[in-house]
Amino acid sequence: MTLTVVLRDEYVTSVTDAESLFAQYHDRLLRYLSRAAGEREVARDLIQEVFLRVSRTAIPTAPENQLAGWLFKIARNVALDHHRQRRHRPETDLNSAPEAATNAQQEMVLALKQALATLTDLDRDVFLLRELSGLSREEIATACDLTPDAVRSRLHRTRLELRAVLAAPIRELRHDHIRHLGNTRALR
Amino acid sequence: MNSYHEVISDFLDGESFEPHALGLALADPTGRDLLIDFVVLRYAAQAEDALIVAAKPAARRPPKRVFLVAAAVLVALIGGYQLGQRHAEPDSTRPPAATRVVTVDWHSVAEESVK
Repeated sequence: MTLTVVLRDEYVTSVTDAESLFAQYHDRLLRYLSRAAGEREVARDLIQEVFLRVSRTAIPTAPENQLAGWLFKIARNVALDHHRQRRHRPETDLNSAPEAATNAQQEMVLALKQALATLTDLDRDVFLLRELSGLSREEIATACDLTPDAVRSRLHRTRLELRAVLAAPIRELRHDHIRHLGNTRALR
Repeated sequence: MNSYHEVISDFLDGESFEPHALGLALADPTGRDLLIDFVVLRYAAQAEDALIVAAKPAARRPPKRVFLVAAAVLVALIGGYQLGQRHAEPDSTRPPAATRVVTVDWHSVAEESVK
């Protein structure tokens, strides 16, 4: 049975809506929260908190791109609350890289982690929401309370900064074999 | 922001772009380098996550579990075999079960033998 409550003309909430929305974005949320929290296990706890907040809130009846932005805004708030409770930035292990990677890949992953740690929270979130979670500029704008134009310029500026900082590992990786990652569906 | 950069970023982000402008940007070696570097950055952002996911099954299944499963299968096989043997062995205290029952009217047999 689906319980649907019309709160206002523009808002509709229902349990199944929340579940289907959550299921649709679960993997992308987990990726984002894993990076934001620094640990996948913590991210799994945070994702439960996101689901609780989503199920308690009126889901806006809006196009999918706005819903994604709205959902990631909640996820971002959950991550920020988590950091506030711990009173420090995410404990990302800046010295660990996947063992399966080649040297050039490991070097690049480590360098990127370190470079991301030097960015502001907002710049890092904009970059990760785009490159890791595959959100559109409009969705990122909703998630981060920015305009799409601001996202465009901020994202581009961050890319240029990272490119400058990571010039050496990027050069190395350009001569390496870049494997298919299997999650390119997340990027549009 | 350089116009080359703009159209390359637009293209990379799946936003609307002018193909002619993109063609011009990619005709320039610096534009091509920029596109490749941005793709490498994207790869690196996703690489850790993808590689961890790919490595997970091996990490989740420690060698101990394989031995435990093998031991369980072995115990089940030996147990099953012994149980089967026990049921198959004839019980010496009981007569064998009849495999065919023949009904004979003993009165008629007795009369015939008297005649």
